[in-house]
Amino acid sequence: MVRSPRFFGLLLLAHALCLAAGCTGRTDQETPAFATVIDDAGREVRVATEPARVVSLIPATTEMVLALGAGDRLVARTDYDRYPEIAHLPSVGQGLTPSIEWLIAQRADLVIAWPDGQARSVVGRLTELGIPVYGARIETLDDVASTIRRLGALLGRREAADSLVAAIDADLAAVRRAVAGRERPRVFYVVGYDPAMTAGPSTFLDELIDVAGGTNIFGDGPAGWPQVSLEEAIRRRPDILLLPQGEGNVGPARLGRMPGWRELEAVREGRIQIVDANTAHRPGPNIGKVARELARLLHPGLAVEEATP
Amino acid sequence: MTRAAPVHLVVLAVAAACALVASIAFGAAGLRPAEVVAALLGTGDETARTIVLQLRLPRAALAALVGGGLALSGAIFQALLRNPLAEPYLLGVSGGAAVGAVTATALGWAALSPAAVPVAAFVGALVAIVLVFRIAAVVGRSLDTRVLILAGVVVGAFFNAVILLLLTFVDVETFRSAVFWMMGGLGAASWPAVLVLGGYLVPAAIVLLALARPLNLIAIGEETALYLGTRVERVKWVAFLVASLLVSTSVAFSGVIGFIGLIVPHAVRLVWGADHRFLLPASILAGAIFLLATDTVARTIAAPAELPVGVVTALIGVPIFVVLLTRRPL
Repeated sequence: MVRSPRFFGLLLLAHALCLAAGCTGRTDQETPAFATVIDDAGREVRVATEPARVVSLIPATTEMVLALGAGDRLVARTDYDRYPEIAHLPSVGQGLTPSIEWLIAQRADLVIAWPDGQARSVVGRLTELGIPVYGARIETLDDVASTIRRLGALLGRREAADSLVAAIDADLAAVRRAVAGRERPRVFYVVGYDPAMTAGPSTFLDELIDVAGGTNIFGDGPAGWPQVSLEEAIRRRPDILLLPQGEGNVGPARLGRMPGWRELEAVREGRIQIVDANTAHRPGPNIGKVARELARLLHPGLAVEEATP
Repeated sequence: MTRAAPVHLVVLAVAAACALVASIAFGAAGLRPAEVVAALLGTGDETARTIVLQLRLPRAALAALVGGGLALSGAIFQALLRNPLAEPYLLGVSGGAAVGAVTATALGWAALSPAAVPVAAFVGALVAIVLVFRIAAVVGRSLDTRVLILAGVVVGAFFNAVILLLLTFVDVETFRSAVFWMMGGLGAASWPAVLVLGGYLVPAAIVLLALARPLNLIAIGEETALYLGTRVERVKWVAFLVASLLVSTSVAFSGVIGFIGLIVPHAVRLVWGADHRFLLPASILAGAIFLLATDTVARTIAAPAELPVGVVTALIGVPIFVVLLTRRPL
């Protein structure tokens, strides 16, 4: 047996690699799944049984789980989730660096996280250890609906998901009807002030401004959440500034004194409206309410009928 | 080397073993000691086994390897460059690695294979090393350490600018991943990472420890070392390259963890003296102890969240170092 030491070494290596890959007898590919969906990272997410211990690391998806009537299955929250129903749960911090071993100890059977796709990632490590991870990347209003549907499928709440999506659609349609035919003010949505950041096309906020009867002045700008120059903002002559508060943004009084910003006519004339960042910046089940609120800010005195899906 | 030195090494080795045990015993999951022991023996609850064997053990091993490797390369850089501010990332390795990692993330390679980001980071670090040493070699036939430091600093600055440029064009998600990567941490330690880093650290440490005597002479002065029969150029090249590769490997798996490579060798020198035959092995052990201890704190103190380990290394390390410095001036 001249070759046995080498063979033993190979065996050891194979074992180590197998250990690393997490293939320690947990291949449940054969058993029928409770639900299977494709997440936003393009990966197949498969839960063997109905998830009973769920961790959502993104505020918007936490809201979805709550709205789907599965809030009692959440076993943790992030610092940003302050709803009374889940305020008693332990917080995993900001959601980017939860303790993996704590999640395992909690026997979490579904984790909803940003799809980070990184080598040193929470998603990758949890997946290796056999925990289903749904990667959510929600940018547009369509993304909100499709995420609600897929989470509904995973959680065994398909009907709740369908009626939630229908309610949101009805809300958005009611707002659209109410502002139809009105003059559309030119809106500068101030995501950040130093540097100036706004909502570009392919974002839910750009779409919500449109639904609420406004014209996003950077609706033809770079997609996503671009930094923009104030010169360009002044050139585009916004009628109104929407200033989200609650995430450490500058207040309207200070903005009015800042060089560059005070050059905007809308700022000089006090046409600044405050938006609650903790609601408006979450592409979740509340986008219908956000659309109503934006419509109210852009069209004072507007009456939006109650939606009946 | 004083006669007490072997005793000190034994003391450090025992302390390192204790730090290793502590970092396996403590964690956010709050397992009882009996559960940890059962998991180590392969019995007991499956959840506990997963936590101990798949999470705590590889993470503790990686912490020991990264901590030891960074402290060792820090000691080498300080000796070769004869500069107290020398540290493992001085020669642009961290900037190169970050460019590699950000590129791999931005181009979506990260999604293809879990090895993509570490490999890209390692390649980036190699590019930085090649650039720095090419610049130094063009300037003079012998390796001038002043040129090397300046080349390292400017190459590092250039790569940092490249990172900022790349980050301006990527989407929010890539931005978040990249910033997260650059913070450094041991969060996703796994057995392949331990095997690769260990497989490189052990031979690298043997080579570098074998250079302890010539390093003693070079630390006094290159001319003196030359007169005393040291092949200064060869020692410098070998030590620089081996140490740089060591840093590159550790950056590939854990990102940039600052402070250890700068402070641990100084602390060892302050307490026990500057003989490299002792300083190098002692730095490996002290670096391992320090990162094991600080990572245990980072994992547990804010549980179930985790703190970035770099924050903890500085918050705990600076006060300790100031005490050492004021008691025994350099």
